Amino acid sequence: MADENLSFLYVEDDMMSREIMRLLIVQELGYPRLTIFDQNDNFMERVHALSEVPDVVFLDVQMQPHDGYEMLNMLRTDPVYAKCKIIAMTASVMATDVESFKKAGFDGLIGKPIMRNEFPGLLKQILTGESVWFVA
Amino acid sequence: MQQTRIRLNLGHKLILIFLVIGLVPVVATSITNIFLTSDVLRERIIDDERASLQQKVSEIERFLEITVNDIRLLSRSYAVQQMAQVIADNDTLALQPAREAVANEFISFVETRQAGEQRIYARIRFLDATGFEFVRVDDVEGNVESVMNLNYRSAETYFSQAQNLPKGEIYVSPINLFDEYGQIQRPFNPVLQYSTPIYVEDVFIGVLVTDVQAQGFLDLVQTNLPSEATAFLVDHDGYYLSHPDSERLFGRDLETDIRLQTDFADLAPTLGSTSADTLELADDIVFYQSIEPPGQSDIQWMLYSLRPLDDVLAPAHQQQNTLLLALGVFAVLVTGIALFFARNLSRPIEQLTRTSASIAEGDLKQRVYIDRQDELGALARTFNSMSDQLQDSIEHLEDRVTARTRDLQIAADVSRQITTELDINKLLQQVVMLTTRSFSLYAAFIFRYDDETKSLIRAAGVTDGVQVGTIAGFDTISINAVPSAIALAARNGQAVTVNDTTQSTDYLEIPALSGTCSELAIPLLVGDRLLGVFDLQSKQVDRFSADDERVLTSLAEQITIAMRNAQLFTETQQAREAAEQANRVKSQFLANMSHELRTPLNAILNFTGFVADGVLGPVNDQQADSLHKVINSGQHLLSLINDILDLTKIEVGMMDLFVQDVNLNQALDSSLSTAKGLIKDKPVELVAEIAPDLPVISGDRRRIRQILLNLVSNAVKFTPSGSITLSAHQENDTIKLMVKDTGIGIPLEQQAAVFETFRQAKHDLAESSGTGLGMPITKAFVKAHGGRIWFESEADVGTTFFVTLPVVKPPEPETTSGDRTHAPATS
Repeated sequence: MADENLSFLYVEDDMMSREIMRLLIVQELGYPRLTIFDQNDNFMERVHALSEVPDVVFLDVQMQPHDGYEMLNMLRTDPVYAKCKIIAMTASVMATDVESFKKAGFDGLIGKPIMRNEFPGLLKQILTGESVWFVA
Repeated sequence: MQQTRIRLNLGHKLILIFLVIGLVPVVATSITNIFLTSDVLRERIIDDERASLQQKVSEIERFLEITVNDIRLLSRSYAVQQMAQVIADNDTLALQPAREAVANEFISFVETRQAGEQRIYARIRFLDATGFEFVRVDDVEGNVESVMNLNYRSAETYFSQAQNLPKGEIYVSPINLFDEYGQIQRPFNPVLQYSTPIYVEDVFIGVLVTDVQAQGFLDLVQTNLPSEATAFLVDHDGYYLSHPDSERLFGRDLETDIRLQTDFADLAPTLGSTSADTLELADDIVFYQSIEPPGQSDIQWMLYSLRPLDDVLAPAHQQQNTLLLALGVFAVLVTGIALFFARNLSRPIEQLTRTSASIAEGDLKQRVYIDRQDELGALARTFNSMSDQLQDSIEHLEDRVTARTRDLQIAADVSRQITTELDINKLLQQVVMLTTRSFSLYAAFIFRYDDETKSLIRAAGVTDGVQVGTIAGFDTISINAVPSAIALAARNGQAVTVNDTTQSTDYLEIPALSGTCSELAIPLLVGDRLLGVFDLQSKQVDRFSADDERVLTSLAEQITIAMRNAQLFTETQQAREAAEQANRVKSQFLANMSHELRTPLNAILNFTGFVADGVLGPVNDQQADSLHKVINSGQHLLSLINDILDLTKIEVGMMDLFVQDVNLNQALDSSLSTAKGLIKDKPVELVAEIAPDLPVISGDRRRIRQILLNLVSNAVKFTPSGSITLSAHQENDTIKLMVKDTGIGIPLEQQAAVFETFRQAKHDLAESSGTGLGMPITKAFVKAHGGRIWFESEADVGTTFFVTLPVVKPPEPETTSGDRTHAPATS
């Protein structure tokens, strides 16, 4: 029973990933309100342009011109979005990276490529307020 | 102290020996001699005295005999006989002439009988039968004449005694002092009377009486006396008849009590003795002899000669004293000689002892000064020579020890430097500084060999105690340089010594190093490889001895080691960095690879999944079925890829664990359901013996699931029929898992290779389904969690895999759950 009021933001420059996420969240899991940025220049403007504050923000950390950390900072320093759950999406994760993600202030980390059978569970955890640090 | 004791012994021993040998026999013989001779002497003296006494006695007896004889003769003289006849015939006419003839006879008798100067007879008388002095001749003051004063002497003993005597017998009276009137004459005139009866044909006619002057023979007694001797003549009662002290004479007649026995109580027993004997009194020795006048008398005189013992023994004593003196002198002499010789012998020995002790205590210069020609002198000379050698050796030795100690010290210092100083250049500089200081050298250098340029480049140097900067012609030396001791040493791989730079063909003149007179260049070699050259220079000619070369060579070896170590260190550093770099590259590659492989595969699985599950619209069964097949293959591929990547990570030691909370029960349930799915319709029973309350542990969830999956799927794969039991329970701090099957088992010969990488992989890849890389990966994962995995298997019976995992409690909730950490490499 998907909560139709939950909204999500996914910032991702890889088409495949975008597509998978969309299919997962919208079609499979049934959350209609998913916004996807395929670029992140003027990031905060785009964010402000959203009609609502997302409940969960998924950030691809390897993006240009702003990487995940920068985006995170921008969001956190903005009082409106500071409380969002921000999840890092990354392809390569080393041990030290996890720490730095944690320290940076992410609420979680999901490794790419996204696994269709894992993701729903992770999302549920995130929605219940848990931090997930999941690597493929 | 020791010395004194020794000297006492030896010197005194010698002295003792000397004295014993020298004195004892002499003393012994002397003493015995003394005693013998003194005895002999004493005897002789006694004998002499005896003889002397005897002689006196003889003389006196002779005198008495003569006088006795005289009266006998006289009595038989013609005149007397004639007169006797006349008287007997009563021939009055012839009487007077006969009387006168007798008187003349008497006179001539008196006149002629002399003892020396003295007349023997004082008077001669003829007494008739009545005792009347018929004829009387007196010596009156030198004149011998008839005396007309005639008396009757019948009362006199000499008459009365003679009366009773037979013819020829003579009566001798005691010596007396009385004159004819019975008065004692003064001065004393001791006389004794002889009387003899005159018979004519047995008719007593009268008595012939001679008055003998005793003084003559009495004086005899006092003659020839040794100075200290006293002589007495005593009568049978002890009254002195002759005595040196005239006061003591004639006690009888003078009616004094002066007698021998009162003066000498000890001599009392001798009176009346008829023998000649000797008596020793306290201080004197007494010789005595009895005199008995011939004829009829009760006279017995004793002649005593008294000599003080000292006097008698004086000669003996004197001889003794002389001997003792001689002995004393001799003893002193001997002692002196003994002392002298003892000293003479013990002194040098003592000197030797003292000197030896001094040398033993360390004063090597001590020598003995004993200039003699005997064995001690030889000993002293030998001793000195030996001491010279000893001193030489020790000093030499000390020099060597000093040098060795210095060398060791340097070696130690350098070692310490090498171990503490990590910077090789600093170290080399310190070494050359140390070397020049310790060996007092002018300069020292270390050159490094550069194989590319084939030259020796100076790495460190010191001159006159100061670090050098650049030196023209001496900063870089080609290995082929000639002349150059350094290059030569480098070429030959052997140390080169230049003892005198002015005379050597190997020496290269360097203006900045003009002080050098000798040089030692030691190559620094590792095996055959040249690392450099250690060069030492001195301002002295012939500075480097064989010993120096030895110790400097070992120093060079240390330098070589240090340089080599520095080299190796940098090489190791570089290697390590390269390896780390390579690892980083590998790791990066793996990560990339992992991502690159998984991403498209994931896309395949995801999208196919979407379609198959009707997310994108309805699909029919056939479509769904086909799509699921695709998905299965894809998943299989994904597993393979993951396994290969995992295996590769394990091989390069870069496996990482994503630590989370792992709910074991969930994981086990999941693997059970998978097993069910895998078994499908095989005749295999699945049994679960899982404790329901297993703890949640920290671990890599995915990996743990993988472990379980691997074991379970292997069990299914290799069990055509029977049962598979999955059990899990907690024991203290360990989770014990077991997967038991009744399958085909693992043949013994393959059991060793179960956990090996790539071996089984090859084997299993040939079989269908399952990844086959599972075992080594599983083992690595188990070990990464700190657990153990092993199995028991018997062909055709079955296999049981055991896994233990330590219960590692997840960290407290405030720290985030799920931690990605790098596990140590396991394989």
